[in-house]
Amino acid sequence: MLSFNTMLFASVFQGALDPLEQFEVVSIYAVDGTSYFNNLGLMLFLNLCLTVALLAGFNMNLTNNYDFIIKNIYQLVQSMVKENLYIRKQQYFAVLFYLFTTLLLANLIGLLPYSFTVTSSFVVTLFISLMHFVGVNIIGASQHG
Amino acid sequence: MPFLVFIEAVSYIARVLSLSIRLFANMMSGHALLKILIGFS
Repeated sequence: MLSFNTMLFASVFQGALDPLEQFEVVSIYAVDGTSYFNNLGLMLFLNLCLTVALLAGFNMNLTNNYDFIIKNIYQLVQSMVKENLYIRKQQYFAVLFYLFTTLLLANLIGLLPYSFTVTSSFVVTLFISLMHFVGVNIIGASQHG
Repeated sequence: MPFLVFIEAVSYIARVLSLSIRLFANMMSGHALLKILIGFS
């Protein structure tokens, strides 16, 4: 744990121009050398909060400019689902819409300077894909098996 | 015939890993490129 912290501070203070320095998972809350919270968790939580705030604040009457953005994203995902997924009543549209929105928000937040891109860490992409893989297999085996 | 089953299973599982590695590599290379180009200025 001591070597982890020294490596961390050395990389932060030496490599100001290191292009791979921005992908480091830095502990931001640690007690007695045990890390409880890092910037990956912080950005994931921020991404979740922004997605929920953006989607829960949607108004059907389109009173805000964000409502137009969400309506356009909805129609985009709906057209993609319609031409790729031939399931009547489109019952899995919500999953794909949430996936599209979270990935879009993660990549847009990561473009900000001094930020952290969630999807540039392999754990996140691996677990997103494994989660959908297991879900798709379970649903397919239970409905068509 | 069991050989074909094995090949299909491997390609079915490897698709998941391949797509996640693709998203990860695209994001990482894009942000590293942006950081390098910022460092030139």
